[in-house]
Order: sequence, then C-alpha cells, then structure tokens
Amino acid sequence: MSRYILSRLVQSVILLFIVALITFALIHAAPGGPGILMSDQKLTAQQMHQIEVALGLTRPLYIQFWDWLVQLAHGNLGIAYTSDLPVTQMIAVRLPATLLLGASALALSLVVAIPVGVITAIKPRSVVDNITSALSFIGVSVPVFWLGLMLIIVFGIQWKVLPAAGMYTEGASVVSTGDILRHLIMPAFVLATAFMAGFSRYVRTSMIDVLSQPYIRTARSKGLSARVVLYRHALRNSMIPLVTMVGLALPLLIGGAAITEQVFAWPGMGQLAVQAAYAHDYPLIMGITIVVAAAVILINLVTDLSYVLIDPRIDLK
Amino acid sequence: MAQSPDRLPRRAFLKRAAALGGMAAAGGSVASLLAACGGAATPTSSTAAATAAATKGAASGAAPTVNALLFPIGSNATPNPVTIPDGLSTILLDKNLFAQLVRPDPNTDQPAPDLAKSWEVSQDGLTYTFHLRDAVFHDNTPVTASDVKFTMDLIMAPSTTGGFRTNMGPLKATNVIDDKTVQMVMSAPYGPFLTMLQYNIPVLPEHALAGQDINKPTKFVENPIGAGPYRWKESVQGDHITVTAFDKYWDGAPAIPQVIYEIIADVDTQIAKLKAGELDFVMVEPSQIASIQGTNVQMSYANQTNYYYMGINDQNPLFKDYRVRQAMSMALNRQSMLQDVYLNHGQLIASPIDPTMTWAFDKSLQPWPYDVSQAKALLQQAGCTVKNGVLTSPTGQPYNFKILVDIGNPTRKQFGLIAQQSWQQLGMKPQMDFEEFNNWYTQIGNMKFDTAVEWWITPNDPNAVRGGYDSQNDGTDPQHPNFDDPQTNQLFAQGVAQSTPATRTPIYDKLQARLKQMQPDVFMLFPQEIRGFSSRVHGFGPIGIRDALYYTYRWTLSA
Repeated sequence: MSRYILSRLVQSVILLFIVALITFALIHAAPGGPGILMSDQKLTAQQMHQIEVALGLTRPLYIQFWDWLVQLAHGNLGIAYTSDLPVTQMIAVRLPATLLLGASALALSLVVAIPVGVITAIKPRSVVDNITSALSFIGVSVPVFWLGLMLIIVFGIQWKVLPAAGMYTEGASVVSTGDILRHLIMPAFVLATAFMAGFSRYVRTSMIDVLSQPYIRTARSKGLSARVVLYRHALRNSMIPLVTMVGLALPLLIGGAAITEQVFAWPGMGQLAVQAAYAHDYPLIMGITIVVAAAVILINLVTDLSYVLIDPRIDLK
Repeated sequence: MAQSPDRLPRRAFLKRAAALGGMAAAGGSVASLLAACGGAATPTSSTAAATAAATKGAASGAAPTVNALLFPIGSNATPNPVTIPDGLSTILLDKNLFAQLVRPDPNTDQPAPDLAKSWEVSQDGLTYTFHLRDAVFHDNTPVTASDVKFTMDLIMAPSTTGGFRTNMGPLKATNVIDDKTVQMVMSAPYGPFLTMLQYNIPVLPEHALAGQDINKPTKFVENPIGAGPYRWKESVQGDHITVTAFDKYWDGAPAIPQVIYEIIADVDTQIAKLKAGELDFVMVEPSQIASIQGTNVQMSYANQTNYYYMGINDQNPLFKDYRVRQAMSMALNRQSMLQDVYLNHGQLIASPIDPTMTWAFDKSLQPWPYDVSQAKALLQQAGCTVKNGVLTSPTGQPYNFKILVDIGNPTRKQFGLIAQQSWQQLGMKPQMDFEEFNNWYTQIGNMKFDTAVEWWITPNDPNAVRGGYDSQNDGTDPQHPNFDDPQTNQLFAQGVAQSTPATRTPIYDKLQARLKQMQPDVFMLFPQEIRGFSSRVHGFGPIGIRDALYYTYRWTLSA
C-alpha cells in the first residue's frame, strides 16, 4: 500500500510538471500580450518594452519557465500582474468561498441523489422512476446561467425572499452566518442541480445492477429483511461508481464553478480564474492551474484509496 | 487606431461584463464561517417574506436600505492614482479618495476649482499659477504647494509607467512659489492644459509617498491617503472596497456616510442586484435598457466625451484613397446604428469632435448623408471597378477585407453587422472577424487589421484625439502613423498652441471639415452614457459617471 502511494506521488510530480509545461506553452502561444500592457494609457512602444523587461517577458521562454519552476520549489507562485499581490495570497483569499459553495452543493446533491437513486432502482419504470428520470434529464440539460438568472428574477426580484447575488449583505455592520446562508441557497442549488441529476442516475443504474446479483438473492433467501438487504448489502456495493463520480466532481470544490460564481457574484476561485484568463495574467493563470491540478491529482489518489475501504475485493498494489 | 486614455478601461469593463468573466473574493471572515455551514436550513421563512412582499403590493421595486452608496466596479481596484493598474475600476474609486487641482464642473464639464481655488494664465500662455485653498489630507496634514509639485514631478518622471503623463503636453516644470501658490511652466503654449489637468490628475501627499516606487507603492495602496471627500476604510480582495466620509473635506462633510464599491463583473448580475434593491447604480448597453427599467430604478442618459467609429487601416492600399473612405462613410447606414442599436441615445457625428466639446464642436457641420448611389459614383471616380461581382481597386486588388470586432458586446456586434451589410451594397466583400479582447487590441495596436469597430473615450478637448490622426504628433502615439495628411497635422498643431477657446475655435472648425472630408476613420456616432440609478439616489447630475463621481459627497439618499 505505502509503495503504491509512493509511486503514485512520484507520478503526480511528473504529471504536474507536464501540466505546468503545457499551460505555460499555451498562454504564451495565445495571441495578445498580458492585459497590464494595455491598461496603461498611451504607452509608447518604448514604455511597453520597459514594462516587458520589468516583468521578465523579454527573456527566452525556457528561462522564464525554469525561473517559475525554481520559484515554485520555494513555494512561491509569483506576483499577479493585475493586483501586485502574491498569487498564493489571492488564491488563499478566494478558496474559502469556493469551498463553502462547492461543499454545500455537493452535500445537497448527495442528500437528494442517493435516496432518489435507490427508490427508483427498487421499482424501475414505475411512475416515480419515470418522473425522476424526466427531472434528471432536465436537471442535466438546463444551462446553469439561465437557471441562475431565472432563480434571481423569481426569488430575488419578484418575491424578494432571497438576496439576488453576492455572498453577504454589503454595508451590514456585522456579517452573520444566517446572512451568508441566505446568499448561499440559490448558487448552491444551481450548482447542485446538475450534480444531483447525474448522481441519481448513477446510483439508480448501479443499484439495479447490484440488486440482480446472486448474493442479494442469497441474502433474501436467508430471510433477511428487505431493509437490511437493501442498505447493508446492496447500497454499499453500489456506491463505487458514485465514489468515482464524486471524485471527478471534487476538483470543482477547488477550481470553482466559474459560471455559477459569475452569475451570483460569488467571490470564489472560478471568478479569479476567468479574470486571470481575460487579463492574460500569466503568474495568476499558472498559479491557479498548478493548485487545481495538484488538487485533482490528490483527490484522485484519495478516491482510489477509498475503493479499498468500500470494496475489500479491490487490492492496490 | 490610436490607443487612448481611458478607452481600454471602459472597454475591458463592458467586455468583461458582456461575456462571462470576472471576479470577486471572499473576505477572511468567511473562513471562520465555514464550520458553521454544515447542513443548514433556510434561516428565513419564505412564506412570511412572500406575504410581506405581497402586502406591500409591489411585485418588484425596492431601493437598498443600508445607509451607504452601493456602487459596482467590474474588477478589484488597486488605488494607485498615477499608474491606474485596474483601469476604470481604479478610476471610479479614485474620484472619491483623491482631490485634484481642478475638476470638471458638475453641469458644464469645464474646468472648475477643486484644491486650487483660483488660477491665472500668463499672457503668453506659458505659465499657470494656481492658488491653493486651505484643505487637509485624510491624515490631517495640510495640502501644500510642495505636494502639488511632488505629484506633478512624479507623474512626469520618465520612470513612471503609463499614467496620464502625455496628457500634460509641454509641461516643463512645477515650481513652489509659497506654501499655497504653485506655478506650472510650459515650454510651448498648450490650450488643453486645464482640461487635461482635470482628467484624473490627483494631488498626492508627499509625506505618505516619498521614497516609494510609484510603479509598485505596496504600502500606499494598502492605506491610500488623499484629500478627497471619502477616506479609505477597507478592501476585501475581490469582494468590495469601502470608503467612508471625510469630515474635514474642504467642501464640507459628505451627505452619504459611506460608499461601498461592490466588485461584480457581470452586468446581468449588476442589473439583478439593482432591481432587487442591493445596488444603487449600473451602466448598461442600449439593448439592456428594457431589462433595467422598473419601479425602483430611474434611468439617466449623460453626455460623456466618446465616439464610435469604424477604424480604418489607412496603410492598407485598399483604403489609401480618401474618396474610397468617403464612399464607405456614405454607404454606412449610420441612421440605423443610432435608431435601431443605440435607440436614439446619441447623435450622428461628422468628425471625432463630439458635442461635449461645447466650444469646439461645429454644430453646422453635417455628417455625410446615407447615399449609396453617390458613394458608388465616388468609387468610380477613384478608379474602382466591379470585376466578377467584387469591387476592385485601380491596382486590381479586390475589396475582400475583414471587420474586426471584439467578442461579447452586443452593441459593437450590431455595428459590425450593419457595416458589413452597408458595404456589401458597394460590391465590397467584408467578412466579420470576432476576436477575443486582448487579441483584438493587439491586432489594432500592431496595425494588423483592415477595419474595426472602435470607440474612444477622451478628455473633453479636441486635442485629445490628436494622437489618432496627426502623423507628426509629438511622439504620443508612435505606433499609429497610419493616416498622413499635412493639412490635418498643421491644424492640430495650430489648435493646441492657442490658449483660449475663442482663438482655438476657428482652427478646430477647419479641422472638423478636413476630417469629415478625409474620413481617416469612418466616424459614426456620439453615444450617450446609459445608466440606471436606484430611485433613492439624488443629485448625480447630467455628466458622465466618471466626472459625476467627483461630486458624490453632494449626492443624497432618500429613505
């Protein structure tokens, strides 16, 4: 096991290097220079050149990349062009908001998806199954920005029961937990919608599959109650595909959901990433990419390890 | 064409707004709240709230209730008033933090007293003497002539990147006469000087900035000190910036105790927040007017120096002959642009000098009429012929070219499409080329384009557009020597060297006529700034928001 983890970690470092290299190559291949060169007024070619020299952009690319790697090894992601702040600090400031939104959405989607998946699997092609199937397809296919705006119009503008956007009421003397939760409801629901729909389908399919297995028949014929068979024997075994799906969804917790964050003015990582991309803020783009990539790799490792806990038949070597 | 002061910031702002992009960030306080958010229930009873809303009898319509002006900015703003690192966001923030020597009059937009209570210009137009009023910075130190000198020297220093240095023209030296008198000396007469001085030129405290690198004043931007009506309170990276009333402001304490700049990149979200009573202001495109109107919103249309045009690459042999450009101007359905796209919030223009430049704008000069047959006649005169259904230049080059538009803005997309249809009537084969903003900008800057939908927000002086059209212009725009007309150059040079509007006006009248004739770009229209305020805001006046914000301290909020 520890040997397995070690080899995975070594692979991870190589993978991260490749990710960094590709990202670096892509941002420098993209047309248009960093936004900082354009935000100044009436820069002459000479002044532009001065800035480029100051930013180190005139050096050969491989030296720039090497420099970035050396800084990374020291835990330094550089200074963002757009804010004059350390990239690590910018990421650290936004991570909590993204984690809050992502975790809430994920929790909400699982709380709904697992029971729905189980119920529809017990009686496939029943009325309940057909209705939830239809809802799932709608949930998967409805565009996030549209759903978000519709909710804002209905609950924020027409009925005024929830705040339209933002993370808390600006200008309030004290930021209360209740206030943040009120702001969290709509974006979390929107983000959860697509997850919910997908997850419930996976649970359903996997559950139907498991329920037809011989060991379920055996359990039933032993005279165990339907409830015990369902929850003790079937549910746990049907969780493996879901764990994979959740594992794949987890990077969103770190990377942020750009569109949802955008529509609800939610101050998270997704917005930061979009901003960085628009401004061609090279250090910020590289920083976000490497942090999210590291998180993805780590989460995948944890997901793989968790299979062992769920299914003893799986042995990692 | 020429890159300009302030053009990118607004464009970047709109663009970010239109496409899905942007930012905002959580406060540090959020981290501690994470623990509390496990599986929470709704803290509000939605039925109770719905009933409350229903009994009020309004399906929508409420202004914010917090006693602070809630103002959106598109991106996080670093308050460096010299290098303006975040473009428009920084500019909008700076208006309330920093006082200036002169500022735009709230009604006429012409130079009006700020920290300078009065000034004199010498007969030869070379010396400006400013008399400072008694005023203090936010840390209670008095504003002195040496602060003015310090600021101007900082702005003029060659090591300072960007900023508005080139706007200062032939400013040679700033001299302290006494504590409250400062003199600025020109190496040549410079008519636009006061107008340029009111355009984002602050007075900064020497004691707070001395010794810091103005290109990265990390200490100063964490706690900026100015002499404006509001002082710095806090900045929550990417979420909001709060400034609070400065009681010792020279013109009296502000009526609204706080201004909270909320960072909201998406204009749709800004609109939603305005309508939900969570924001006091939003600036929109014409196509968004319908969605913004509501019971708690007051629409406002302001004159802001700005013009839209089809940028032409005059280096391209296709467009070298001015008659071709004139024909393109005549065939362009500008009326449709104004009526159908801009919903009549603006007016057609003949030259880049727009109606906000009150003394310079020639009202009698009409834009070219929309006349396709006259345009065709002009093309024939220029020696163009139609071969295989395509208009072809005298040298045999077909008019296959691109119309470059930055992606994501509905107004500019429409303008581009109208131009395409218009020019097809002449036998030209223009193709739309939608590019991501940075790429769009770079292509124009490097003259790697044929035609492009562009606009230009400038200071309120005709000399401000000189960089785009004067090939001999004093080095401010060396990247854009694309249009070369000695007569234009000469008129610009004459106009800038006169120091009073009375002597400048006849020169600019000739210049406007010349530019109409030559059409270095195809000039289209002067757009008004379209904005919605929440119904509780009063006193914002008829000028563009950049200038109106100098007077935020006079605005009031009704209950």
